[in-house]
Amino acid sequence: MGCRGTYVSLEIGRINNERKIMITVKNLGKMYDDFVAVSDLNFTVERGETLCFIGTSGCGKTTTLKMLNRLIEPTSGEILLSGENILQQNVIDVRREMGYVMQRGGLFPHWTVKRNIALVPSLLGWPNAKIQQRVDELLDLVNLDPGEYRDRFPAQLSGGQRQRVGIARAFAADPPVILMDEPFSALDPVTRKQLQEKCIELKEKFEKTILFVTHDLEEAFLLADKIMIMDKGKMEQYDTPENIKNSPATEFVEKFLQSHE
Amino acid sequence: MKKIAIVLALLISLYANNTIKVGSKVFPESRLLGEMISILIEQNTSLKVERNLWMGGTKICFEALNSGALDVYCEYTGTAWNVVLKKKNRASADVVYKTLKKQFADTYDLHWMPPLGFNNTYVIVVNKEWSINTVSELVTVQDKIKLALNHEFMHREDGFYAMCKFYGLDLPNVTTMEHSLAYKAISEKTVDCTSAFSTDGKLVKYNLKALRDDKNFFPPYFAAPLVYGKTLRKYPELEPLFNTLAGRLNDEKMTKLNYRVEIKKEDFYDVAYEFLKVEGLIKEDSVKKERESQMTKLTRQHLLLVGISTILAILIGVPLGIFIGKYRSFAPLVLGTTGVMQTIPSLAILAIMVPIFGIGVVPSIIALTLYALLPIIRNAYTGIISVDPELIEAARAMGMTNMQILTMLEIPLSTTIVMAGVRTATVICVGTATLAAFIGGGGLGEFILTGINLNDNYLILCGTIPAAALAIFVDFLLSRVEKWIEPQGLKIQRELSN
Repeated sequence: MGCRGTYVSLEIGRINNERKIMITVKNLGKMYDDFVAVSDLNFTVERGETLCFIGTSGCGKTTTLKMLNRLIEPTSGEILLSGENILQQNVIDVRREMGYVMQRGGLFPHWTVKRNIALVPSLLGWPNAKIQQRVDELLDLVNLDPGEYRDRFPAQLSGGQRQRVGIARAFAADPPVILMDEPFSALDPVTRKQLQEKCIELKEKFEKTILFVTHDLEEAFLLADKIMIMDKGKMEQYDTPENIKNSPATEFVEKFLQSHE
Repeated sequence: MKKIAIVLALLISLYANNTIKVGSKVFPESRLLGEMISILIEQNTSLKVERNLWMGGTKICFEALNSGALDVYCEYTGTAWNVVLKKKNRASADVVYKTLKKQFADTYDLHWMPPLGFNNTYVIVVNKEWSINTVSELVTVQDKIKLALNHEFMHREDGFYAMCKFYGLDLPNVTTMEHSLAYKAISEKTVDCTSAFSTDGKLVKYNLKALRDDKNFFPPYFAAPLVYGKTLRKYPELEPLFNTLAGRLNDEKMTKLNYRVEIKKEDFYDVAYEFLKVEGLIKEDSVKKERESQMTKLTRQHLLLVGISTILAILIGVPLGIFIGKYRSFAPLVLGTTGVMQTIPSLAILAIMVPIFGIGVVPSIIALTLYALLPIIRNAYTGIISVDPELIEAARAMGMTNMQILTMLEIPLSTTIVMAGVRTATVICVGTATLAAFIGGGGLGEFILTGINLNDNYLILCGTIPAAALAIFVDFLLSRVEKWIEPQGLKIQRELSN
């Protein structure tokens, strides 16, 4: 009987723990024929946390990010989103649960700003009035005047404005997780700074779990709660910026930090 | 493809019910005879007539009749003897006709009506300055005399080579050219001698001397209506009607009629009509049928040919282009096949259509459709593959299905390129459709074809100018559609990047 009591309390503890954990990645790997792009990744991300993948080009950081919404299908491992294995769910539903921001925006050039932002909500079949309201709300949020920008086309926006719209699009259907693939790397330093600050603001306001890829260490230290340094498809170190800075786990991490000073 | 052809054929046959399709070969006499038969039927029965006059050579007319695409046309006994029955021996006019009548009825269920009376056989003609009078005498000038002969006469069984063998001639200076061009060459004295028909109205015009066939080499060429068996049985009133034409013409009468249409450029309909009236074959008080002006009719036919084939090509080509854009492993096969098709000369494609689909509108539309396919498929394919992969990745990442990506992203972004392909295809079609006239498809090419055969520049221009104008107009129109169909965001993008 006593045995049973222990079991119950363990079960409750596990549930509490899982409520905080947003993403669990187990033994994740990707192979292209004989080439190992990513191997044996294990990590968890908590709700509201920002995780940054960093490393040299070809280290597997983008591949890892794209496996999280199955733009790239893993060849091994599991990805749990709120405890559910997304590899066993409908891929379309999985993607609609995650926002996605791309390096150059990836806005549809034949659609207005409004329609671009409304993409996922309209795919989800939201009523029109709700979509309208949401679009204006998001434009305000990314500091674009709805009256002025709502009906513009992407070609009529600057690079920074396009990226703001791209972020608004990712937040549109209020997904719990946002994936960002080098979102600010194509911008000029001033705009980049503004958008990084915007990003911190949004993340704190909405408690989103954000995973993003960058090759800019400074950006990683600025935005991330946790940093994963990768090399040749393997995780070198996964820790808080503090800990990474103070105690690099491997020789590679040490060199990587030095080279970016 | 085949289904569409069948549907089209059905539609046309529905439309053509109670209609007698009259054909003719591509020379004035044959057309005039076709016109006579047409008017005879129109004025004496309640049947409608579809004129497929000026359709093609013996092979095309015969194939058309044999497949039921035509109901009647005038054939010549000698031609049928050599070209269809492939007989090499000579026989008297009577034996030839009787043999043909029996064999055609037994083998093809095609029926010879009584001959019209004249014998339009081959003659060799020379400029009057030459002092020779018979074919045999050609041997005396065989090294210096220059001949210009058309393809058919060169190669047929009773043509040039057989004649040379029969008469023991060796004529080294022979060039091949269209019949009417040969006359022109002879009048300009670049050649001296050509073949002709004994009832040819041009013999008078060009002041030519016919060499007597002193050894009776050329077989008899008596013209007579040749009729499709089912048609004769379905409309029993036709046979007695065709019989009324028996023996109404002789060489002299025919040459004069030919002279009127060929040289004096009188209207075929008018000349045929008047002849029938004088002969008492149509009622004294009959009225000429109101006829659409030739220009309106041919332009309408032309637009119809182009319109239907382009629409078919779009319906087939756009989905196919999109398909190979999505499943690229099929692209080389599809683009290769259509590319090869494009390299086949258009006239050859039309010729291939005849034994498969017969003659007329359907094979013309099929050939034009095949021709229009390549630019449409290629542009649809290019449009799809040139969509920025980053946008596709964004679309996938947002959770769009493949169908949504296709309809909301790839197709809208490809519209301009697809439209450009449609535009190219349509303009090609407008030009190529002029060739449809060669296989009885009608259209502005009829003017050109008639013009070439009559050596009449005015008629050639009647066909080429409207066809060219049509091409320019269609191109302009479609360029507007292209602009109109371009999504606004892309228009702005293009304008800003300029």
